[in-house]
Amino acid sequence: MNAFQWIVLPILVLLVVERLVTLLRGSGSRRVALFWGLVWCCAAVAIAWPDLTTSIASGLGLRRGADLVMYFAILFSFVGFYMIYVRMRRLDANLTLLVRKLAIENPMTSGEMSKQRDDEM
Amino acid sequence: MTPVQSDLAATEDQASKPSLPADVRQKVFIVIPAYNEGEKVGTVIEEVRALYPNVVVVDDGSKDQSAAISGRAGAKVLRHAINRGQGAALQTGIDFAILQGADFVVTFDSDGQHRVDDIPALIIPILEGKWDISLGSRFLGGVENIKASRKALLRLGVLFTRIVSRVKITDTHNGLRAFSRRAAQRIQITLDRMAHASELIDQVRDCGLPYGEVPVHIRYTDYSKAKGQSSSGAFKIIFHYLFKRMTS
Repeated sequence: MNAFQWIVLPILVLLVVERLVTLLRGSGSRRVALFWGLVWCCAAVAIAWPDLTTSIASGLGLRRGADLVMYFAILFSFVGFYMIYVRMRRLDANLTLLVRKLAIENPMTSGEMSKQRDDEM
Repeated sequence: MTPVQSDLAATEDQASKPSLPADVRQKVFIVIPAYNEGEKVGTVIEEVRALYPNVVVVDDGSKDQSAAISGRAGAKVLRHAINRGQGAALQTGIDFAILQGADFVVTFDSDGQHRVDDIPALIIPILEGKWDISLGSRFLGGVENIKASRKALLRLGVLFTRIVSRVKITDTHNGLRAFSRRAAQRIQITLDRMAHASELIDQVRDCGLPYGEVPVHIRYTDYSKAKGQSSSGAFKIIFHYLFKRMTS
């Protein structure tokens, strides 16, 4: 094993254990725990056996295993950005509904308007 | 809907501009979204209220005295606790107007670029049962002090709408519009910010109700130009609109 593997593999093992503990405790989403557990396992396997990624890469018509990892990382990032953006838009829409409900249920009274005027003077 | 051509003819003024009978004006709700418009909104409301008693101002989280000034000018004021954008403010005002029993809902800008005189021309076709949604068009009517670059951008907007939404109208981003009650009930703006204008055209197309364009006059002033959307904002609008179309 090289120095990089000595440093990174224990960290990845710790992350997998942390996800397992989360799964066993039943705290948090099971789907999310499984997803991240799988991601850390794949990373650990790719780092522990670099030749494996190279052989998969050549099977897919790529030269190096590192290229395969990089392409997947980029793809993964874009999917992640998209999912985060969609979720943000959904939160934004819900926030608007809440703000609207409050505004319609509480039209401003003349007292509140005078108070606003006094506050801003 | 009862045709009221004879009443309308009787109330036309000397300049042959159409006007509406008082009982119809009572049923018209003017929705004015406002964000930091304290300088102008009071005058706009006073002009509108001289003829239309039901004015709803949606203060979109302004940091100035827009809400207080609007209230003093006689408008019903709804306040967004935080800024949500013009599209969100319009939908809040439309929802409120429906709850208040509006028969007609008119959307009107707070920066003084619209003319109260144009409102009857928007309402009359709805009143006559010709259509349910009147879309104001500055290119059928008139526009004062518009910069050539803004005009070109608006024309591009029209072209964009014709290609993407497949709706053939002459002015797609005009805030002066009127809806019958049933049309207002069917419209549901979900794009909170400026892209709502494009979304609204899609909804007008899809809601299954007839619509038409009405010539209106827009007067750009230094104030409205300073407050208006920057030309670079067009890219943001296109992004939000297309993203919404792709994800819904």
